Amino acid sequence: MSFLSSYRIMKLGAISFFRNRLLSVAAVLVMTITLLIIASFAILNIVLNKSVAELQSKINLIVYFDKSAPEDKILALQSRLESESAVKEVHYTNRDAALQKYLSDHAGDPQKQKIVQLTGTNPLPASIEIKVDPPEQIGAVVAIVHSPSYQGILQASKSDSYSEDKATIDKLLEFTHFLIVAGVVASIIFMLIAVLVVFNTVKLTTFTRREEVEIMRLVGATESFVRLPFVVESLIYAACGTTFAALILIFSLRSLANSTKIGSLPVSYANQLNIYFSAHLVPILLIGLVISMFISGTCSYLAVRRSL
Amino acid sequence: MALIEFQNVVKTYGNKIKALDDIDLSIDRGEFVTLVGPSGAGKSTLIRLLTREELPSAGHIMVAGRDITKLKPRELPYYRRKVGVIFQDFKLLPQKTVAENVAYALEVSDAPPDEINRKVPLILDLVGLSHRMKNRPNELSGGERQRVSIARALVHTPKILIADEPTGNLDPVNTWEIIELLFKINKRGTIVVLATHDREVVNALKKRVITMKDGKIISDQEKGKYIL
Repeated sequence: MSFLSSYRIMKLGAISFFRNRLLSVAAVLVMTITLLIIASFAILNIVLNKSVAELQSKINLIVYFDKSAPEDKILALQSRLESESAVKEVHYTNRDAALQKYLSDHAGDPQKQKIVQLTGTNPLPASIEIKVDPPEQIGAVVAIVHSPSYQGILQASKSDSYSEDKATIDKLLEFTHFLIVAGVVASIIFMLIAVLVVFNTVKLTTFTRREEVEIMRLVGATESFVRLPFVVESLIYAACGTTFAALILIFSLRSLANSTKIGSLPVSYANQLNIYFSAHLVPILLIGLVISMFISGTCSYLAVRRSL
Repeated sequence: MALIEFQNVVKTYGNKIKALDDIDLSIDRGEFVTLVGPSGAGKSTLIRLLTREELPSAGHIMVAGRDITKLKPRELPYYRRKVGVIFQDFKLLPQKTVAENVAYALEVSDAPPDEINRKVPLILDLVGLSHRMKNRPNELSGGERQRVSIARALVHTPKILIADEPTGNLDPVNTWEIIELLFKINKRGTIVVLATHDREVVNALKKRVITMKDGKIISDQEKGKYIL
């Protein structure tokens, strides 16, 4: 195709966009709403991923040892755990270190300092803190800790942090997993809706302009000259839709970040998102533009092929 | 030598409706042919086959020695530029001016701007619409609109001009203006195929008349008359 033809095709698409104002406004509006919905779910995914990562990082296993437990046995358990692939980090705190940490943590609280002085001895047990990744493997690690060879060294009353909070941790893991899956599924559904919206908008455009298409063919226009202006027009829908969606998103996030409270939720996420979007505005806009133009261009080409 | 040849052309719709039944027809260079017949006789079907809007169910249609039933889709636009067509309802783009409507036919065929700027005024002068270049179709009379349509059909300098009921929507004065214009175009060497119901026009033309009925040619006369 010559440069002149390409220019004329683009000009025809642009002229049609401005001439059929009502249809163009409707198409851009639908595109903007669809992109906003997809962006909202993408943001929800970012928030969820951050929340899940934060929650998972907090799921640590702490094993408490009997005061009389020999240190060499505790260190043997530590090396046994370190050999596990799901165990990312093992940190041993002996009784003295635990006491020092307690005292320094509560340096400004004379009452808590007093409790230690009153007992006269060190009341704290030795412990090891284990970071498990993926967190779903925590049960298997607990099973190693509770194996018969280490049974004698564990504290009798509360041997680990997991067994007590097992139900809560499992529910949390299940819930975060559900949220991630739900976010991905919802995004896919809205992508499909966007595809259908573009496809049908272009089909509607070709239907309203069928007489023009008939005239084009009558005067000897090639198929690319008949079809491509519709694709150009849909690319303009995509570009306008992306710009409007981005503007709405930026202003919404700014106003959210400026407010002190969103219902009962803390504003920290809105603030973080606002900072994140401001820092990555150009690549986000470009990615959005490329995605929407790809969806729009492909769908409109298929719609034009089907209906013309 | 015939420029257009229909060889045993049959066109059926579904299993039963036979729109054209074994048509044999040849039209020489420079001829003015009038196609007459009642509604459903097959005139419009014959025209749609000639413009390659449809394909025949059987037979061959030769134009300038080439079987147009065998044209590939990508060859069709180039064929259509050689065959000008005008219709009863003009088929003009309402949002474009007269000059733009004519230029459009050149634009879609990749003509450079200087060629467009040179050809459009010449063609509009030929059809007598130089003074209406900047008007839109809704500002013109029926006869003027049909002349724009003729100008657009002529802009590619076609060898054949097909006119499907071009005067069907026009008053007698405008009808004769259009017929005179078609005559003028024919005198320049272009084949004119005119499908019409207008008895007066057919009788006054004194040109070849092909009469169709029930998908068949029932009469083909040089300097013929409307016989139905």
